[in-house]
Order: sequence, then structure tokens, then C-alpha cells
Amino acid sequence: MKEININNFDEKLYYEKLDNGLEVFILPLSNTKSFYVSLSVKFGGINRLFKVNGKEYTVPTGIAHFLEHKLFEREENPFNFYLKSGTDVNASTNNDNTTYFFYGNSNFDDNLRYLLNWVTHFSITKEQVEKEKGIILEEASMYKDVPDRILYEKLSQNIYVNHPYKDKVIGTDSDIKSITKEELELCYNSFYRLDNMYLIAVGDINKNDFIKIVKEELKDFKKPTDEVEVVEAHEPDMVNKEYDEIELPIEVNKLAIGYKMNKNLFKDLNIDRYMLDYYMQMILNMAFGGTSLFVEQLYLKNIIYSITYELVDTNEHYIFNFYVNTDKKDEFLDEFYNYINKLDLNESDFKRIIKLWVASEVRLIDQVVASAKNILYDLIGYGEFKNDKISDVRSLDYNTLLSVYKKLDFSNKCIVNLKSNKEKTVA
Amino acid sequence: MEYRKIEEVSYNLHLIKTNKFKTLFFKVILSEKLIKDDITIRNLLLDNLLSSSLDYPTMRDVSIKRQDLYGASISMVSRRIGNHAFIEYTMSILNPRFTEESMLKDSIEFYSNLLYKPNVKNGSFDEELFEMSKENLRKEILMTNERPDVYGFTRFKECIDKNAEFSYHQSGYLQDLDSITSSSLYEYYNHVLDNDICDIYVIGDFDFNEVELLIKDNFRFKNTKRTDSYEIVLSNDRNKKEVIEDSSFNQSKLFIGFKLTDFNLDDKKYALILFNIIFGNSPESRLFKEVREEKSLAYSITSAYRRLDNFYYVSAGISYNNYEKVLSIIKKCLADIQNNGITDEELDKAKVLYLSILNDAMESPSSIVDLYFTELYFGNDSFEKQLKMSQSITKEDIIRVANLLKIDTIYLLKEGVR
Repeated sequence: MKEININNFDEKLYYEKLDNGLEVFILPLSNTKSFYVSLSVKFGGINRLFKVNGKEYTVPTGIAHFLEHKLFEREENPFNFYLKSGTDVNASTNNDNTTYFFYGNSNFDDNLRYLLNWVTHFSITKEQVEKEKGIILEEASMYKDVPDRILYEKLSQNIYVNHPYKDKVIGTDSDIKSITKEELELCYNSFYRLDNMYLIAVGDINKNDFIKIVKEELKDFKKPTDEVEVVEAHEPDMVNKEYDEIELPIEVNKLAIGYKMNKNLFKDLNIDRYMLDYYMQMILNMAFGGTSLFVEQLYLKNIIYSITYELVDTNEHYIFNFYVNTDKKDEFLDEFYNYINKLDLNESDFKRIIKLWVASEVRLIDQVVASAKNILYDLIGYGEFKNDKISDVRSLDYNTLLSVYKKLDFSNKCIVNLKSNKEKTVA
Repeated sequence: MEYRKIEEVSYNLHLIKTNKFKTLFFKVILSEKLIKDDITIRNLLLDNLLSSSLDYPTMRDVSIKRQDLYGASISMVSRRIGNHAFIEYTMSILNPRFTEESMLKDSIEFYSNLLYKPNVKNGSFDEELFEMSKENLRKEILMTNERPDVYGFTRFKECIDKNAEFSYHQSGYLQDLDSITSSSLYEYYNHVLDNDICDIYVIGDFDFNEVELLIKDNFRFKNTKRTDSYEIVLSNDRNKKEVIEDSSFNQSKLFIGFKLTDFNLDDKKYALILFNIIFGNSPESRLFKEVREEKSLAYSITSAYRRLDNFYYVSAGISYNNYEKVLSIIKKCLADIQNNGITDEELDKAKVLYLSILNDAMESPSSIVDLYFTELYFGNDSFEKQLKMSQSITKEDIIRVANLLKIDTIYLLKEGVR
């Protein structure tokens, strides 16, 4: 096991890669009686087109999420087992991964053994697959009443032409209905392999006992020999659809704007992806975050009710997304287009946000679940845990920030407008 | 963990010293009996206090100061608990030993500044910020109609008893909003400081005397008279109702309500909680297994209650086609427990879950404060007593409380076009 320093804190991260390919990360925390353990599979909404030993397959949208649901189908199912010790258990699927986790404060050893056994075994019947469709269709129906989600999903659909981020993780209703037992098994066999997973444990944990149990439970697994390759589609720079409007029974109109920029724009700056992500986040925070004068003006003039931003980083593009609650769409867009080309980025704001980010690294290590999620986020995004974020953040340079800013290109944009089709009601 | 209570003339200061966390957490709780007409103005006050003060007049100024305090996290939330209105004003900072010694005094002064030095001139809040906050609150009130679960739940509660405090609209009312001015808001601000009862909690690794002095120097209140009744009393003359309302949402929301007025206090504190876990509040529950797992009729189905509100409910997101079926399965699940009881395994698991949640409450600063706060205000039992009481519940207790539950109100927010 390798010991990894985290920001020179007292707490240390322990890492080991097993012979079967599983990567294990253990972060013992002494100030807590709780523990959180997650087993994440690098299989999510984006893995729809793939090759197994050279043969190409395409699977329906929503299959990763459906598979997650069906993993719960076991004789002694996870809820049965974990609730015996009052341990919380659940799973979640997003674009990049499916994560199975438990959180609790008792019965650790058996909880861990169950998790390892659970995710590495899968068997279902056709009837069980059919039965799940009703449940997932109700879940999808529930989300259709969440306007923010509709906005996010439509924006994704319209920004990307080929990239799988364009599809809903839950899938379309017709795809959900079409999923077969064979397709689920194909996905399970291709992606649910130990060398395609991360095991992360944080909290009241003994690292030596932990690794011993893991090795024991997984001793019969060898590194698989099938070659699985995700087929990546080339994504053009142009957005799929520039403008779209949806009518919903909402009270306050909502707007989303996405800007798509080719990563080649930033190539000659010679900044690696990880640090470039920091510069992008910094630009967005300075321009649109809590200290933004522009945002404050929009509030004071009652042009918007709220605005949030999001950075997306795909292999080929940077995407800046903005989600706004506004009944004054045209006024907002005027102000916004004006501003986006001359963002306010002053050096004292820059230095202060660095101080803020350093402080949040200290806060993070106090939190069991957030620390685990932070580790997973790095692994999925960068393939490794970034263990010295305080130094990395302190190394950000203001002039470099300005040079990144100069390269930003706001010419490829996508807008989704959610309009109210209601008579305005009086509450 | 060491606890000290300091009784000041007009507020109590509760100091909880522990080296478990890297943060210091402060909570100022202001409360008074809930008045329907004041809900809107009380919500409006929070935004005006948080977004600026005399010394930090713009939102940017406030944000800059928070960032300078190494990311002090500050919030002010309005909550109804039983028949009282609570303002919870919290601040969380990194322990100064990680930042700078002066941060303790600076942070507490800033925390106090936002409360005591509002951006007020000539008896009125700053006009521009006031108008902004009014528009924001208008949108927030309107947006409560956008979510079928939120809107449906309010309508359901109104159907149970439209005079009960639990049915009041949490965000406020548009009619009330229109009549508030920047000076009437200032009058209400003074009313809160003069009338509300206050308790202040501080938890973290600090020196008792140092924090006591800093709080005393920076906070003062007026009211010394405490109320002690938070429970909502339901009107007597209510008939059993079934209400179906149209909407243009995608999914129907079903709510079934039961009165809790025949329950004794201990039953509401313990037996009913364990019953709730077994009946509908876990993935092992009767409702989850039958309605979702076996019949695939819902993705979200749950049961819950708030002791001081005196009603218990089941809620589910369904298709209208399955309304009658779901309703009859829920009734059958309840009747099954009423007539045939529960298994030892179900009871044991529910007790273990209760224990686990109780232990988990010791894991975050805010939940530890909540344990002390609910004990002081609502007569919740201490950690030790909760442990003992919950583990001593029997199967007979569960059957007994199940048989006290009788359907009082059924409300369905019916989907529009699918």
C-alpha cells in the first residue's frame, strides 16, 4: 500500500492497485465514527457505443441506469442486508460512472464484504427486467415535472451533435421500454470488471483490515482478457441546434445558454487539463460568482431572479453553461452578450478566491462523504487523485489567467428558453 | 464534549466544546408564535439583512468580506416548527488555528454586523435592495406552484385543516407582499429584535471565556418571556374528505392524511417512529415493497409525520390510471399491520435504524446543535433517553399505534396530459 500526502495534512490517503486491476483508495479519518465506502464502475450514460474484442455494439439510452436498478435484484437484496445494521445503502448513475455505496457506523467488515460480492455478481430473469420498466418510467415521469431538469436535458441535447452527453441518463421512454435482458448482460460483462472500477473508503476505517478483507473477498478474480474499447465519436465545434423553446406550466421563465469551445484554442498555452480546469473555474467564479458586480446589477435592476454557471470538460471541448431564472429574456441577453466579451477580472478578486479555495480544502477533509466524492471526481476526470490542491491553487498565476481569457471564443452558442404556458396565478 | 449554558438576561448562550471538527459553527435562533400575516414580511426581512448592511452596503461588499474571512459561510433561514416561526441565522468558519487568530473576533463581529447594522436610512431599508428582494420573493412565491410535490403537499395540508398553521404557505402570499414598504419592513425588523425569544449556540474547539465574551459584546436581545406550547391543535369539526384536483403536470401526486390527536406523547416520539420505518419510510417498508417493488406502481412512495403538526401521511407519485389500485394497496398494507402485526425482524431492524440515525446525529456540528435545541424547546429527550426508549418498544406498541391511525383526508393532484 502506498501512503499519499494530502496537502501536508495529518490525514493520509492509502492506495493499492490489486492484481485483478481494482484500484483501492483508503482515507482513514480519526474524528468520526462513520464510514462511507463506494465501489464505482466506469460505466455511465456515455458508454453507448463500444467494441468487445473488435465487435461493435450500440445499446439504448438509459441502460446504465437500468442496470444499476437491476443490480439490486438479489436473493438477499442490499436493502435487506444493510438495514439489518441500520446502514444506509444506495447507488447512483451519471454520465461517467455508476456508484454503489454504503454509509453507516456499525458492522463494517460484513458491510464491505457484501458490497464487493454484490457488484461483482449479476443474474436476472426476463420477468425481472420487464417489471422494472414500470418503476423507471414513473421515475422518468417524476423528472418531467422538474423544470430545471428539463432545461438541463434540452440544453445538453442541443449543444452536442455526437457526444453521448446529449442523451438523458435515465433514457427516453421508448428506449427504456426496449431494453432487454441480453443487453443488460452484455453491458455488465463488458464494463463491470474490477480493472474498470474504483473502491474508495473514507472515515472510521483500519486500512490494514480493509485491504485484507478486499483481497480475501476478491481472491478468485483474475484480470479479464476481453478487450473492451469505448468508441468515441468526433464532436464538431458547431452546436446541434442554436435556439429552442419549450412551453411548460411554470411560473417564472427560465433560460439556459451554452457556449462550446474547441480545446485546440488553448493548445499553445501549454497548460495541462487539470490546471486549465482551475483557470476556467476561476474565470467563471470571478465573472459570475458572489463578488460579481455584473450579476449584482442584474439583480438590482430586477432583470433576473437567479443565475448559476457550470463548466463542462469533454475530450475535445470546453463548455460554459449558464442557467437563469428571468422574465426579461431579451433584456438579459442584451446585457449578457455585452458583458461576455469584456469580463471583469481583477487581480484582488483572483487572490481572494485562491484564499477561499485553500480554505475549502481544509473544510473538505472534515467531511466523510464529500471527501470520498472528491476523490472519485479526480479519478474520473484526471485518472488520478490530485493530492496537493493547496499548492496547485496557490500556483495559479494572474497573467496566465488573462491569457486563458483572451483565448475564449463565444461564437458557438446554444439557447434554450422555457416559457410559461400558464395564466399567471395569484397565490 | 463539554456543554455550558450561560443564561443572559434576554437570551441563553449554549457553548458546546469539542475538538471533533475543523470548523466553528454558530447558530442564532429567533422565534415567536406564528402569525399568518407576518409570514411574507418575515421572509423579506432575511434577504434584506443578508445582502447588505450599513458597513457592507453592496452584495459584492458582503461577499468580499465573507471571502476575506476565509470563506465564512453565512445563512439566514425562516422555518415553521409547530405553531411557531423560527429564524435560524448561522455562520460556519474554519477554526482560527488554521487561518489567523484575529479571525474569531472578526467573524463574530461581521456575523453581528449583518444583524444589528442593517442598511437602513431614515427609518427605511435601502430602496434599491428592498425592491430587488421584493421581486425575488415574488418569484419564489410564484415558483412554489411549479413543483407538483410542493404545490400538492400544500393543497393537501389545506384540505386537512386550512386554519392550521401547517397549511400556511411557507414562502408567503403575494397579496401581503404588495403592501410591504421599506419602512414597514424596518418596523417589523424592530419588532423581531424586541419580541423574539433568542438562543445562541456555538460548537467547536474554542476557549469558553473567549467566546462567551465575544458573544456578549456583540449580541443583545430584549424578550425574556418564553412560550412553551408549540403543538398544533387541529379544528374539531372536520369531515373525512377525498379531493381530486386537476393540473397540467406529468405525474399525479397522491397524499393520504391521518390525525394524530388521539396519540399520547411517548407514542408519537417512539412507537410511531418505528411504525413509520416499518410501514413506509425505508426501502424495506411494507409500502415500498408492495407498491413499488411488487406492483411497479410508483418510483417514489413514502410515509412521514412531524410530531408537532399532529398529522401523519403517505405520499406517492403515480399515474392517474392506477389511483384506485394504489389507494387500495396502501389501505391493505395498513390493515395488515393493524390486524396481523409485524415480525420480530421488522421491529429489530427498525430499532437498529433508529439507533444508527441517532448516532449519525453526533457527526455534524449542526445536527449536534439540533439535539440540544429540540430538547430545550420541544421536550425531545436526551440522547441517552432516546436510546433507551426506542429500544424498549414492543410489537404490541406498534400494533396499538397502527390501530389508532384512521384515514382523515385523501388528496390527489391529478396529472394533465401525459
